[in-house]
Amino acid sequence: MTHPVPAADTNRAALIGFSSRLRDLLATLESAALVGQSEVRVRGLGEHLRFACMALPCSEALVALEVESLGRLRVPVVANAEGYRRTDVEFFPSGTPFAYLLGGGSGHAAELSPNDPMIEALGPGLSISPTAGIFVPLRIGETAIGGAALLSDGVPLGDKQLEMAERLAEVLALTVESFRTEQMIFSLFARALPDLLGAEALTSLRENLVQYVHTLRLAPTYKDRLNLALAVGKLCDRGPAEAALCAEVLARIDAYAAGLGGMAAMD
Amino acid sequence: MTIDLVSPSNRSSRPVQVALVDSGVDVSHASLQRSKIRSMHVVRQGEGFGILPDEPVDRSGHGTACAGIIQRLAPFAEITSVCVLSNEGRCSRDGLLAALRHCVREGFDVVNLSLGIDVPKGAPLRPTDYKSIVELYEIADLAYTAGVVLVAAGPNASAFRTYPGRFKSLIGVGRATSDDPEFLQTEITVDYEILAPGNDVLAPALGGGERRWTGTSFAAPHVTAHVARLRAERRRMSIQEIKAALHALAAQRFERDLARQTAGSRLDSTDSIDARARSEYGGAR
Repeated sequence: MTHPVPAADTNRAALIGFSSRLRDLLATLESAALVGQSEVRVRGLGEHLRFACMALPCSEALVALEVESLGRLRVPVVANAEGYRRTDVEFFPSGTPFAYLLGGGSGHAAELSPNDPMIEALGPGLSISPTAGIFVPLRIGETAIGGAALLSDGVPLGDKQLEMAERLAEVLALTVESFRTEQMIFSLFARALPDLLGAEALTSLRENLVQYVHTLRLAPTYKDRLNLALAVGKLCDRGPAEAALCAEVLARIDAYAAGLGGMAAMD
Repeated sequence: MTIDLVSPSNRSSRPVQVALVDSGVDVSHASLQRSKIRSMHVVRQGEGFGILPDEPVDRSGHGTACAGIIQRLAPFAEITSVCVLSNEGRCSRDGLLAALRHCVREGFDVVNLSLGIDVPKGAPLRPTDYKSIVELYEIADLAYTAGVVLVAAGPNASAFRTYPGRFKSLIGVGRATSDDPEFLQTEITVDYEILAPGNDVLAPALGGGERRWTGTSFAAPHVTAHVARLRAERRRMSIQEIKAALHALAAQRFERDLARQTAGSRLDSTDSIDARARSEYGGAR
């Protein structure tokens, strides 16, 4: 014996295409936002490092950030007093000062020799042959997420520069942390979206999202999108009448989009 | 005050055991070939960690420098390198805690620790920070009651709180500028209690030779070596007695330097009077 499909479920079924489209849209927005944030992050790190090169007697400065899934460190940017440049240098921390920093070690300065094995892995990203270096950890809370290196080619680096380098590392870590927080929010939202739009939305995710949306400094456009998704999710959650309303509005949007030509095949 | 370290009744034939919790030690380095160094490392075993024999390698270069400093000042000591870095150069906080627990359990005479948690003073502590700090605190207390002297590096910058270096159950070390490796200076602060050479310290470099290093993590091994000397002479010294002896050594040093300076300034003063007299009296004096 088969039971007739309840009206509410029929209405919700009409939303499936929309859910899928909304997810695609948000994924695209996320990608665009992440690329944009990545640019901002590199610029932020690059500018901090450039100022360090201007304030301290160092010729080049860089950060090496862990790539968690691969066990490697990546150098996204190298700077000197004139500016900064992107790099794609990656290396395993073993055998370098960064291994000690990742292990909870504190900042230190060291003399360097030509072709020094300690910084051999950084070589492809550098334009100088450093004679001294300061290596400081970048920490988020108790966890080291990488390190920064300030390198000089002629002037010794030591006591006074080390203290300043430690402070610089704090600022660099805050820049990285801000970016990672955004990433975490995107990831959280992507996970929460199916729940928000699903039939059984009896979780605390929606409340969490609302809280995050309002408390974090999300870009205005992205915040609007999040708010829209939240509103639709809430509306669908209420009951059959609201779901029917959503379906009707979406049908109109589809018709409008179809009238535009190339965007018709959104499902 | 003069410290009499030689007390035959207290002497022990067992070599002083120093643990160096760091990045490993390259025992093939020319500076360390005469040293007695055992290599261990922290290995994840299921949910926990084990401390197993290791290849005598350094996974960063830092531990070899620290071992060189200890060996130079306390060549009689047997050093056990407890490497907390994995082959890939990674270390977990739990791995570090496991290494410290091992050192306390094994009853080392002194443990050198240049690793820890740095927290900016302006930033609030996070729940995970609290957890790790409390665990470090408990291990430091265990070490204290077990008579294991922990020597830990303090912060490089005054804007940071460094744990466990600031715990008072152990010896927190700050860095000073001195060419004399024997230099010690009492400086009781919230962050540490004694200064040792930590600026431009000449110590072994990975791959051979030596280089100059700067950081509190190179000051701590100097104090570790002093503690090893104290323990070599009087094995049963309590941690309070060791702290008192270190500060007494620092005071002796201060008095000696002061006496030298005073004598020097007297000489300078005499020289300047002579020069003035020569000038005033046309060199006829």
